[in-house]
Amino acid sequence: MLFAVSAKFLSLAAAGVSQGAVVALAALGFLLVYKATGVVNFAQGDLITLGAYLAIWLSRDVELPIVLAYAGALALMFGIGVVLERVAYAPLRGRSIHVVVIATLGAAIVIRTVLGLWLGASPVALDTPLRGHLWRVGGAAIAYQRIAIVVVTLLVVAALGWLFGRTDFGRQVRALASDREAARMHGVRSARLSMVAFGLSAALAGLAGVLIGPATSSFDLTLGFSVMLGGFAAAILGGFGSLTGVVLGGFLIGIVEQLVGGYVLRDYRGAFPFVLMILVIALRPQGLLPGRAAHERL
Amino acid sequence: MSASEPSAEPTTEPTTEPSARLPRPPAFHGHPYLVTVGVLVGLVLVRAWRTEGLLEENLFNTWLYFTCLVIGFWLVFGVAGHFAFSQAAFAGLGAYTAAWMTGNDHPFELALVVAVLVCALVALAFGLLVRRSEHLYFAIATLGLSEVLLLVFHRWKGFTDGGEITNIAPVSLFGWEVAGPDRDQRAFWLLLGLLGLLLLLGHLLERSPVVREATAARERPLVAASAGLPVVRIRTSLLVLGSAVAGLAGAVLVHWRGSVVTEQFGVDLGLAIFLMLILGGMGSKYGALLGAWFYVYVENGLRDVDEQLEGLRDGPLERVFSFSEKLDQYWPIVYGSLLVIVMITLPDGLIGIGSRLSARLRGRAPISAGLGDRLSRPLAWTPPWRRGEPAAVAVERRNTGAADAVDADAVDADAVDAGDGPVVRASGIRVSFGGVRAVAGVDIEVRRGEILGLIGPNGSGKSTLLNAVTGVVPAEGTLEVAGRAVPLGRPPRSRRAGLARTYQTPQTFTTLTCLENVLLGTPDRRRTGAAASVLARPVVLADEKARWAAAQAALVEVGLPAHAERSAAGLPHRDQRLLELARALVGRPRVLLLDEPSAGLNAAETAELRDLLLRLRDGGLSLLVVDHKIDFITALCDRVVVLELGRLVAEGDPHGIWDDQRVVDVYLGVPADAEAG
Repeated sequence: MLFAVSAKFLSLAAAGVSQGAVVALAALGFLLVYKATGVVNFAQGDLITLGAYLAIWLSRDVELPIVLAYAGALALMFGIGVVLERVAYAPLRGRSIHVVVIATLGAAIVIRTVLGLWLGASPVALDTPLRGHLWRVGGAAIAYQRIAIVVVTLLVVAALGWLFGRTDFGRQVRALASDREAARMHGVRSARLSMVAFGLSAALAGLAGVLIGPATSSFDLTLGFSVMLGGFAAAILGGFGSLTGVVLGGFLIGIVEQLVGGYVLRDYRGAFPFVLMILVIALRPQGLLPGRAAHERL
Repeated sequence: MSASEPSAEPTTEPTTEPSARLPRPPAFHGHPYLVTVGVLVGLVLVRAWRTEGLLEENLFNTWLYFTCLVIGFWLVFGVAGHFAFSQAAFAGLGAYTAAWMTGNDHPFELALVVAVLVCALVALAFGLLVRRSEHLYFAIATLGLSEVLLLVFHRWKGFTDGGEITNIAPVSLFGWEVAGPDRDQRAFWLLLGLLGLLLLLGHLLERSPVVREATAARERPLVAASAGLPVVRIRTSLLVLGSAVAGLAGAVLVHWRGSVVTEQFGVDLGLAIFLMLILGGMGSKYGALLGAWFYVYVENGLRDVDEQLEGLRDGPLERVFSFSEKLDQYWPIVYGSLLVIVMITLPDGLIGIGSRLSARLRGRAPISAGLGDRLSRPLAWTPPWRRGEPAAVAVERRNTGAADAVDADAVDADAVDAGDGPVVRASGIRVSFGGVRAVAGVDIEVRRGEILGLIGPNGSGKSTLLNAVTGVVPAEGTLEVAGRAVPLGRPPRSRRAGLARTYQTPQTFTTLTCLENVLLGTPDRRRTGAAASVLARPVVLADEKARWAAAQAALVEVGLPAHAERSAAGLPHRDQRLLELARALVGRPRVLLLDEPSAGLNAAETAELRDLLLRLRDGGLSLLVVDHKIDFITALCDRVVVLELGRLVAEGDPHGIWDDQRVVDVYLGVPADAEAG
C-alpha cells in the first residue's frame, strides 16, 4: 500500500520533472532571441512543430537514418531561423511590441498552415532510438526519452550560459542589449548577430521538436504551440530573461501540474501552469527567484 | 473666490458668456445616430438584394457576429489599449453560459443577462489580477486565460457537455422566436439588433469622457495619472465592457447556430479578431464592419474561386492546377501574412484610408486612431522592473490601488487655505536610482503667492525633486500641502492636494484635440465612467458642458483659444507648452510646478511666458519653476534655491544669489588650488 503510493508519487514526480524540462527547452529558444534582440518570438512554438515534422519528413520520405534526420532537421531549422529573421523581424525593427507580437503570431499561423498542407493535418509519430527503453525505479517506469530531455535541457542551459557569459558572441549580444547604438558604433554587427540569434533559436526549437515529438505516441500541428505557452509561463515564473530561472520555473510548473494534478482536479491540471502564471503576474511580476538583480538583464 | 482660482483673472471673462459661443467639441460633430441608422438600413437592403440561400444567409450572419465581437474588441484594444487575445474565449464563455441557462429551462432573456454578467465578472477578476502588467505580460496572461477557459469548456461536463453542444432548443426573445426553417433569417434580426445596440454604446462612450480619458490612460498612463485620472479603473472598465460584449455575441451565436464546439473560440479566432480590428481600422467602430467583412467573405471567395477552378482542372489547365488542396485551405496563409503586411503598411486600417482622404479634402490634419503612434514606439521590451526608470512602474503599481483616484471627486483646492504658512513644505526628500542618490535629503518650501525658482547644473536633481514632490517617482520624506500631509509616490493624491505640473518635454496627447487635452485636467470627475455615460446621459452632458467651459477658459488664459478643435499633433513647440500649462491650470491648482518651461522658446516667447506666469502669480497662484535660463529666472522669481548633487546649497533673492560664492562654484567649478585648500 505504502509502496504503491510512493510509486505513484515517484512516477508523477518524474513526469513533472520531464515535463518541466520540455517546457524549459521550448522556452530557451525564445529566450535566446529575447536576450539578443529584446523581441519575443511567438512563432517559436510552431518552429518546434516544424522541427519535429522536418525530422519526420527526412526519416520517412527522404529515408535518412533517424539520427541523421535529427541532424538534418536542426541544420534546416537554423536556415529557416535566418530566413525568418530577414522576413518577419528585420523589417519590423524599431516598431512597437504590438507589431512584433502580432507579426510573429501571423508567421506562426503561416508556418502551421504550410505544414498542414505539406505533410497533412492528421496525427503523426516521430521515431527515436530510445523508443521502448524504460528505466524502472522504485516501481515507477520512466522512459529514457524523458531522461534524455532533462539531460539535454540542462546541457543547453549550460551551453547558453557559456555562450552569453564567456564568448565574443555573448559579449556583443550583451552590448547590443544594453545600448544598441553605442554597440553598433563600436563595431558590433547587429544585423548579423540577430540573424545568428534567430538561427540558433530556431535550431533550438528543432532540437526541442525532435526530443519532445517522440515523447508522445503521436502528435499533430498543435504540438509546439501549447508547449510554448507553457514555456511563457515558465519564463514568467523565473523572471523573464533568466536562463536558470526558466528551468526552475519549468520544473515548478511540471511538478505542480503532475503532482498536484495527480491527486486533485485531475481533469483541470492542464490549467495549473496558467493559473500559476497569472498569480505570479499578479503578486510577483519580477518572478519567483529572490533578489534578481538588474545585471541579469542581458 | 479663493486666491488660487486663476479663472478669477479678468482675461477669462469671455467664458462667462453663454455657452453658445463655445465650439462644439469634436466628439459632438456630425450625426452619428443618423449614420448608424443608415448603416443598419444599408445592411438590411444589402441582405435583401444580395443574399440568397442558406449558405449566403449564414455567411451574412457570421459577418454580423464577427462585427459584434470586433466592436467589443475595439473597446478592449482600440480604446483601452489592452493587448488581449482573450476576446474569442469570452465569446465562448458567454455562449456556454447562455446555452447552459436555456438548457436548464431559463428564459433566453435571463440567459443573455447571466452570460453578460459571468463574462464581466471573469474579466473584472482577471483585469484586477494582472492590472500591473502591460503589453507582453498582458498578452501572455490573456493567452493563458484563453487556455484555461478552453480547458474548462472541454472538461466541465455539467456545464458545457464536454464542449460540443448540439440541438439547442429554440428560444424566443420577448416573444420573437429564433427557430424554425427561417432560423437564419430570424437570427439576422437578432444580430442586427445587437449590432445596433453596440454601435449606440460606442456613440455614447465616444460622446462622453470615457474614450477621451481612456486614450490618455493608454498613451501615457503616468501623465494621465498625474493629471488626476484613475488610470486602472478606466482601463479595466473597458476590458470588462468589451469582454461582456463578446459574451453577449457568443450567447446569440449559440442560439442562432443551435450548436457549438470549443474550437470555435480558440486563440486562432482571438488572433483573427486582431486582424479584423486592425485591418478595418481602430479609429472608428465602423472599421469592425469592414474588417469582419473581409475576413468572412475573402475566405468564402477563395472557396468560390475553387469551385470554378474545379471545372478547369479537368480541362486544359489540368497541369497548372494539379494540386489536390482546396484553395480555401490556403486562407490562413493569406490572413497570417496580411496581419504582418497591414501592421507595416496600414496603421489606421481600411477605414483610415477614407478618413485620411476626407481630412485632406477638408484641409485638416487627421486625428489618427493612435495605432500609428503605438507602432512607432521602440520595439525592445524589457520587463517593467528592469526598465531604466524603475520609478515609473512603481508609481504605476501604486496607482493601481486606484482607491485614491476612484474617489477623486474634485481637487479640494477650493477650500480657503487657513493660516499663512508655506503652501508646500517638503522635508527630507530622498530619491535613489539603484545606487545613485539623485536627491539626497532636500527641505524645500513654497510660500503662498510666490514664484520660487529652482536652479542648479545639469544632473543636480531638479527634475527628480519635482517628480518626487508630484509623486511621479517613489521618494522618501514628508510632504505637506497647505498644512495637510500628502503621501509621496501617488500622482493622483498630489494632484488632488492641489499640485499641478508640466514636463520638461511637453507631454500632450497627439491623438486628442487641444480642448480634449485640457479636459483631461478637469478636476470635476463626477459621472465620467462608462456606466454613467450610458445610463445618466443628460446629467453627463450637462457636466461635460461645464467641463468644456472650464477647459475653454483655460485655453483663453494661456492664449490658445483658437486652437480648441485642432489636433494637438500639429502644434508648434511653444503651443504644446502652453497647452500643457492649460491642462494644469484647468484643475485650479494651489501650486504650479513647471519643469523648464522656457526650454525651446525664443526670446519673445520667453518674455510672453514670463508675463503669463507673473499674471498667474498675481491671481494668487504659487509657482515652483525649474529652469536653466538665468535671466528668465531672475526676472520671474521672488526667491531662488540652488541645488547641487541632490542637495540645496543656497537660497536667496534672485539678484543677490550670484553674490554667494557657493553658487558661483556650483556653476563655474572650484579652482584647483581652492579645492586642495
